[in-house]
Amino acid sequence: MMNKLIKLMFIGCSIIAFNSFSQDETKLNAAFLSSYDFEAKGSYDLSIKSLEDVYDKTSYIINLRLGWLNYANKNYENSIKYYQIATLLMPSSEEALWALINPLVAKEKWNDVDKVYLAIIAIDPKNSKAHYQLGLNYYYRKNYIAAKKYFDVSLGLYPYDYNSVLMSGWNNYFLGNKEEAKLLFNRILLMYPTDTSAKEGLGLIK
Amino acid sequence: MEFLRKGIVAIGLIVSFQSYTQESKSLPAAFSKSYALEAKGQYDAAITAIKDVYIEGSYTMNLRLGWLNYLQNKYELSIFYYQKASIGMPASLEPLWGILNPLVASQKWAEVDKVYLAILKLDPKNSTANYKLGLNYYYRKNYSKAKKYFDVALNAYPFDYSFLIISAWNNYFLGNTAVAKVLFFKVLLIDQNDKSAIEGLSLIK
Repeated sequence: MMNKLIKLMFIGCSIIAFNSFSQDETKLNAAFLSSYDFEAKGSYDLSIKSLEDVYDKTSYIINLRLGWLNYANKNYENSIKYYQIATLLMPSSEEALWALINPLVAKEKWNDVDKVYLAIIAIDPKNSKAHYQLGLNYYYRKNYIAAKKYFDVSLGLYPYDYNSVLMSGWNNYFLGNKEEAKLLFNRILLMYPTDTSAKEGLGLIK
Repeated sequence: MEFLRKGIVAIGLIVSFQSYTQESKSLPAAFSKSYALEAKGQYDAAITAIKDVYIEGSYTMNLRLGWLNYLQNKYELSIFYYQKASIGMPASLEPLWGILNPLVASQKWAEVDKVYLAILKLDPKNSTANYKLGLNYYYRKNYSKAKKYFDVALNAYPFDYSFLIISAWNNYFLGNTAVAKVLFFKVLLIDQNDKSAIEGLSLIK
């Protein structure tokens, strides 16, 4: 009885809530619902179409969602386009920037990926993940000096984080800072006493 | 005299090297033992394993003792060690996030707020810290203060469910019903059946 009453109250609230929507809001709501349904079935083209039918170039949310759906549909250029529109509409949003990295990585546009990480850092100067990832990009390009700049920030914030400690260990090793590298590899062994990467690093230093 | 000084330095170096090597040998073993004991739920023994090689100024030991004492429900000791770690590395967020656990368990809410503020001092745009601090103020019905922190989190993640729904309610209680309505509506774009958003919208009408 109580359950029924709660359900009736919920339905009542829903009716009131949905009645308070404008025609455009109702359309948008239906479009999102339809896009989720199609996405769940893997029908990305149809999911995209649901939103394109109500597309508003000034809507952050629609552009964000179209960025995601086009990425899921492997249409990376379109994904980048929509995410970029979303970032222009809300320049303080990190959300759209993090998302934009996915299609850029898929397209191997590494310089653009760097720019996005820098944009995240410009908004959120102590974002440890962005610093770590950007450091990693420079590390893989063997630009150890640039990598150090970013690894140092993430390591400073999380001195006992496995990834930050290990990568800083190797980066310092390649920079010739053997003592620092040794200290960091030893710190890894405190977390994971059998860590093969840290052991390899220490083996090279001895 | 110079010779004597060099001799003392040399002896000092030998001693410190010996203690360094002893430390570097015994530390991984102690940590390894403490992990094994922690995995078995033997927190007291895990704590002893670290305390047997304890160095007061060691950040990693203090951090680990903070964690193990928290697991052992020894919240005061946990706070003590996390504070030591934090003093040892004042730029580190790690012990600050760690110390929140025993402070929450001890229901020291004013202290919890201070820790979030310390996190935000180091990392002003940290969305989790802004959201959580906002939540603390929201539950105390200090909606104006809550808004300050929710706004930062929401600006960084404008389509995040948690940030949207709580910002909507906070704006509702502040009397900003037009803003609340927009936010509740956005929540329904994420989940059309969201009960909380539906309830909020029905109150605004």
